[in-house]
Amino acid sequence: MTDRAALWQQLQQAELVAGELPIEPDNQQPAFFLRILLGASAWLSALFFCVFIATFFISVFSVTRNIWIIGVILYGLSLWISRIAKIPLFVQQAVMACSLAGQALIVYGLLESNANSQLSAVVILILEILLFALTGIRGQRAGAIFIACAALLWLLGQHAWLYALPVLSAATAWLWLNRLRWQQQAAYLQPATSGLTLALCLTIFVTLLANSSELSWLRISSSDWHTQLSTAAALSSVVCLVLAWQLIQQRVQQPKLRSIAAFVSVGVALVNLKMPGLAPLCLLLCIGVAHAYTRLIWLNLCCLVVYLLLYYYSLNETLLYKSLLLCVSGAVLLILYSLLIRVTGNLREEHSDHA
Amino acid sequence: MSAHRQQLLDWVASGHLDASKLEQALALSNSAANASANLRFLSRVVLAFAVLLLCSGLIFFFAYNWDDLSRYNKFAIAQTAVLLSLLPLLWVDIRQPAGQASLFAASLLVGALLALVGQTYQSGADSYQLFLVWAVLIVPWVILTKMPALCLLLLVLFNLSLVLALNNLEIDRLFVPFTHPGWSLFALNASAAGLWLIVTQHLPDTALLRWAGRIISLYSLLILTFLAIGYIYSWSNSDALTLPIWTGFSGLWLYLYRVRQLDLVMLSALSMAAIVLLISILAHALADHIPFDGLFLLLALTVMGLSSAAAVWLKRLNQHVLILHRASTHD
Repeated sequence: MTDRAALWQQLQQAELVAGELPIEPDNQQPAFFLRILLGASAWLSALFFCVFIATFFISVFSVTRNIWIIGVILYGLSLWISRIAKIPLFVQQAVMACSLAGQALIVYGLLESNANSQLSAVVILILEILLFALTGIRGQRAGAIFIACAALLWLLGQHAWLYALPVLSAATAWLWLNRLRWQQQAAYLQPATSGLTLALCLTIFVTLLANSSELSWLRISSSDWHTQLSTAAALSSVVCLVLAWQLIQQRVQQPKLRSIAAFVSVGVALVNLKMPGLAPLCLLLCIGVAHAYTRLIWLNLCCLVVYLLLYYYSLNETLLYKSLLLCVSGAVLLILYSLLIRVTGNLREEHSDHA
Repeated sequence: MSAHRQQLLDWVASGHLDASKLEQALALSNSAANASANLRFLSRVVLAFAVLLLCSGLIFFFAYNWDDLSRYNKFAIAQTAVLLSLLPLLWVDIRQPAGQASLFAASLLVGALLALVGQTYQSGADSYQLFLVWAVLIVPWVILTKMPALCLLLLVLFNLSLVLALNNLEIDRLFVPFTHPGWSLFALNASAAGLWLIVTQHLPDTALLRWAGRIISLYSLLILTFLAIGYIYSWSNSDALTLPIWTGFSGLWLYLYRVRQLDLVMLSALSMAAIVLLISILAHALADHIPFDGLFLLLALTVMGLSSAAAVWLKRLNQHVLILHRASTHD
């Protein structure tokens, strides 16, 4: 008996399922190393394809203003092919490359015809939403959501893009928290969650860069930057606190551990007021650990390391102040570690008592 | 556990298992997250961040070069910090997370102490000797503990000292036939990867050990691929042996990760490197012979074709692994 059959039988005995063992579908998601390989090569081929179309178009028509028409044709064609059932891997790659190249040409054409950059952002947003809803290739949906979020940030402009931080934090954390509940809609919700997570990371790092005095020449931040930053940080703290409480109620059973978790959540939410973006990253890490989402854990660990490096590097204070801040943060974490170790010991003892 | 979990999620997605019964099914198949294991993992993450923040704080403190503090006081603080970081080892075992964290902190603080020496006696806080001495001083601890994080720190220090030495000593050319300075970096990291394979082959296979080994090997492949691309376009490298060595290294890679022990992550990395290299060769060879637009179309189609072929090969290998795994669990 195979693993699948044994598991099905186990579920049948517990009356969780009924009927025969389902036939194994052949449209399963490829492993993560394959997705990285295919994704990277799709972007690379899209780049070459885009240059080919652009050079070919210029050599034939010698005017680049109408290049967006070629973009629309490529986009439409790729969307149509993607909806055909069971297309081979090579065609999937070609579809992704065509779609990306088409979108790039549409944006280039719009910018060339002196259109407002806000209009280009609206067009990208619409294209990505359509792509997300209509494409038959699951891997393309995550990319569509990520690019749609980036377009939305651009559309919100210098005065409002920062408010995307609490909104994206809420949406991402909520989707991860309820991922198992909406498993039947996994074909759409899982790529949306991945795309939103990447978009949240992007927003956090753009916020950090905008906050750095060394990068003020980029003019990402507006004149009332500090007021906006405080409001966005406060809102994201509140959002994360609410969702952290939901996570605690779902996953933490022990009363003592629950009070520690609540106390730490409030602490992180307060620190988030000074370090905007820290709370969403910590919350996603905890959701990853609680639900055993390995990739979410590693993504957030890497993001946290990069975040701390960038934060302390761009902090406009003396090295002595930074040093004290780092030592105090380290000491607080050491205290938290000793608390966690004690609770883990208690849990283990309780577990052995029950056994 | 993760295979069962994925299977259950697939059944929920296909409607064969009711979503409301998923939690029960996960618990039944022992695929649900374990509270105690979660807490243990989180506490380790917290400990790792605490050590990194504390050590960075101390390094920043010496970098500030506070004039109000005498040099004796500074040395006393640096040495006390090293001793304090080693203090937990009196009570905890070196194999425990706290013991490993304290030894890692001590290894970092040795560097802070050496940087203070460089700062005080004007020998420079970023010279290659500093990183080399630092690396040599922590070698016994690395051998003693065989800790992946400490091994990676040691390799980073050797890499840093080598890059700084090449820069400080203005070495632009090495000996024939390997004249490009990048060969020394490749030799260092490839030797480290080989040593890692030999040392860890009798140790129990853990994710941390596996990933540390992968990082070292991938870094070697990255250096060699950069050298090969540099040779194709004649940017900086003119060593004729570059491409044969790349081919030989790929052969060795295939032997290690396809024949000796199948590792699909490493094989997909090699596939990506081979695609990039082939595209570079094709672009360079055909640039003067076919029109610009035709060349880019050819490159786009080649990338798609090669990546699809690689994906099909890796998928087949993956299925083969799954069949073997099922057969072994069934036995």
